[in-house]
Amino acid sequence: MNHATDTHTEWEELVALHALEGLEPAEAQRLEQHLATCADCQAALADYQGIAGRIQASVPLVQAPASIERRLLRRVQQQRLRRSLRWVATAAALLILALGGGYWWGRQTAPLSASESRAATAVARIGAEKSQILQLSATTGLSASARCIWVFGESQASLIVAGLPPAAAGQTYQTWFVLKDQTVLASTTFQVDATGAAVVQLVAPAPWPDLAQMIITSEPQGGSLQPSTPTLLAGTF
Amino acid sequence: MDDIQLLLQIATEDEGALREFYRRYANLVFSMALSVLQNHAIAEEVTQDVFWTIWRKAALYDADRGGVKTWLLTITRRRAIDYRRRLKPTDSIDDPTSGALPTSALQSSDIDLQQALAELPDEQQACVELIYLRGFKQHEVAEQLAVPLGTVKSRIRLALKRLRERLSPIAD
Repeated sequence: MNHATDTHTEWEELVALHALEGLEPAEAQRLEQHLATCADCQAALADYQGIAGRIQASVPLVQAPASIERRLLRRVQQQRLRRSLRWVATAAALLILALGGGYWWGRQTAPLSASESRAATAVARIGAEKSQILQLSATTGLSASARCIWVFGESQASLIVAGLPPAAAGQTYQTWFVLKDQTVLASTTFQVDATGAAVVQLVAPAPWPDLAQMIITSEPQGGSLQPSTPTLLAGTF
Repeated sequence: MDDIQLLLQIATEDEGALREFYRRYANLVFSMALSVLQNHAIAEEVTQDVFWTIWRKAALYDADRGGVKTWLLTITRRRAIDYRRRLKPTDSIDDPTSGALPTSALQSSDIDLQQALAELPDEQQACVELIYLRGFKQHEVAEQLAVPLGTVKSRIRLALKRLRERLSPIAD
């Protein structure tokens, strides 16, 4: 290498350490500046990096446990599921926002920020690593459905409803939780928009493992203490 | 199908391609992680993490910058070193099943390399292993070996100089 004798050894040391990725950032920066003008050090670095690559490639082989592949593939499948659900929720949320916005422009009354917030919360729950989803299906001839999404360990959940007709005058929709001992607990009331969609925030009245079923009924405005009409939508935990 | 074709398939989210790639390289990735970490449980976590990265970022592979195996090993080594550095000083890196571990990460299956490494003084081998395959910083190696920092630098320089004299470069 074409260096003055007093710096020759120092550059050699830096080149060797750089090849082994052992330089501190300031040292690496200093060496990079030097390399730009020193062909000998460039050649040495290339050779040293080749040697490092051979060392890296020749670690003694050990059998990888089979459980790693299972966990990896499960993670891939969960990602795909979350992505498809996120797409559905995003589409639903955008639809609700668009309709909410139209309502706001038309009547200057709709609280757009609240629906925006609920939609965003629902989407965030779906994207969470440990989200759980309960599908609610129509028990009558309705072409309605709903999904309740919550994050494991949290009591709050998002309910996304689609296809319910607007409630009759003086009526509202109400959600209910049925415990495993068949106790029925009242939950939130809600209205759907003109397309039959709603995003509702819920609080579970009991730990999720204690819940057996979620149902939705039509009730008088203000809600009821017990379901007073037949179940419209139901999902079993 | 070669490795690059497999990576292209993985980039299109072909799960079958990921399985095949995993079967080709799982042992190598796990072995590298184990060499760095000396701990089976954390090496398993790193291995899964590396293949998860491949699944999400296979498209980032650049053939001009080296072979697939080199790329994969470099990702693994750096990821394992990151894991090791995140461990609290109080966390034991010792593995109760360490009887199954290689005694040295420098036990090479590359015969020429093995011979060249064997000719190095033990203290030079130790410095190369601690810095490159275990990811320790220079001052940490100096502390571990109870030698001045300058000695660590000098041992690395002498080790690579000697290996360079003994080995001719081999492409990936």
